[in-house]
Amino acid sequence: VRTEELIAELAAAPPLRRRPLAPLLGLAVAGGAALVLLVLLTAMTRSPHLAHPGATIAVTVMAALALAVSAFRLALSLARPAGGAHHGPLLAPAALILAAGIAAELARTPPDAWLARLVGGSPFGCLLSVALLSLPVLAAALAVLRRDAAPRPREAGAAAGLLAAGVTAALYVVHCPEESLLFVALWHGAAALLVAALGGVIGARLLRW
Amino acid sequence: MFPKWDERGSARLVHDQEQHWAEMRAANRGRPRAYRRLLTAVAAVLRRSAARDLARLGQAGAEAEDVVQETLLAIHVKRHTWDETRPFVPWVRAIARYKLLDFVRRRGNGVEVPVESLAETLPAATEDPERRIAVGECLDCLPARQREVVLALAVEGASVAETAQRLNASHGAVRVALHRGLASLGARFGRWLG
Repeated sequence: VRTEELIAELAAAPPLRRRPLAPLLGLAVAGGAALVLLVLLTAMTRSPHLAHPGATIAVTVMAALALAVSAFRLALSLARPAGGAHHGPLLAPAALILAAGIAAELARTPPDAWLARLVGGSPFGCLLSVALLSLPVLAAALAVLRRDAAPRPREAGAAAGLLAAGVTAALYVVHCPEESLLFVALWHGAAALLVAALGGVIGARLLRW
Repeated sequence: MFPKWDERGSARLVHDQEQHWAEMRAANRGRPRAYRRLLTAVAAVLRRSAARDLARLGQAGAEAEDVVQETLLAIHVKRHTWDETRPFVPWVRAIARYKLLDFVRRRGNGVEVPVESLAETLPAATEDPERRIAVGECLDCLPARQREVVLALAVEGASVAETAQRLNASHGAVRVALHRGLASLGARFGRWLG
C-alpha cells in the first residue's frame, strides 16, 4: 500500500465516536466490584466486626480506596501516549493512612500481642482470597485499557492490578474476620503486590497495540 | 495563545503545532480534508524521523515507510486517546516512538547488519551452511539402517561391497536401503525447500 492511499483511506473513515476513557474505566471497575461484592455476600461468612465497625475497618477501607483512586489515575495516565507526565506519589496517600492507623494500634495494644496480631488466624487464606477476588476487577480494567494505547503496557497492567487490589481490599472488610491493621497491611499489601505483578505480566502481552 | 516572537523558528513551530491541533480536532468531528492534510504533514515529519531513528538503531532505512504507515494507522485507530485539551505533537511523538520500538523488536532483538557490509568483510562461503544443516536434519530423521547406508555410500564414498560387509548385510539389502533412504531424503528435502 502506498502511504498516500493509506492516508486517503484513513481520512475517509467516519468521524470519531467520543469514547472518554475515565468513565469507561470507572464503569468497568464498578461492574467488577459488584461481582466481587456478590461473591463476598453470598459465598463467604460475614465479618463479626461489621456490626460495630471500629478503627480497623474504617482505616482499611480508607487506605484501600486511597490506593484504588491513586491507581485509577495512574492507569488512566499510563493508558494514553504522552499521558504520563505527572504520576504523583502513587502509594503515599494509602501508606500514610495505613501508617497512622498502625501507629494508633501499636499505642493501644501491648507489644507481646503484636506478633499474634500480625500473623492472625489464616494469613495465607486471606492473601489468596483477596488476590483471587481481585481478578474480576483486574479483568474488567484490562479489557478497557486494551482499547487505549499504553506506551508502557507492563506498567499500565501493574497499575490495573493495584486498582483491582485496592477495590477488592476495601470490599473484603465485609468478610475479613481479623481485627488488626498490622495483619491487613502485611497480607492485603502482599496480595496487592501479587495482583500488581500479575497485572504487569498480563498487561505486557494484552495491552500491546 | 500568542506565538512566541523571541525566535522566528520557535514562533513557526508553535504556529505549526497549533495548526495540527486544530486540524485534529476538526478531523475528529468528521472533516476528511482537514484530517488528510494533517496526516500528510505528519507523514512527512515521520518519514524523516523514522529513517534517522532506524539508522541509529542499526536497521535498514528502507523500512522507514513501513514504520510511517504503521504509525499513521496507530494514530488513526487510537485517536480517541488524544485528549483535545492537551498538546497534539507530544501525543504523536509518543505513538511514533512506540511503533518504532515495536517494529525494531518484531524484527528480532538483534541489530540487523546490512548484507552489503557482510559481503565485504566475510570470505565467500564454500558451501551453503543452511543447506548442510538441512541435510543433517534430514539424515537424522531416517531409520538407523538407511542412515548408515546413505552415510557410507553417499557421504563417505564407500562401495556397496564394503558397506555390505561392514553392516553385515547382503548387497541387495544395501542397495534397497540406499534407494529408500535417498528417496526419503529427496522427499523431505524437497518439502523443506518448498
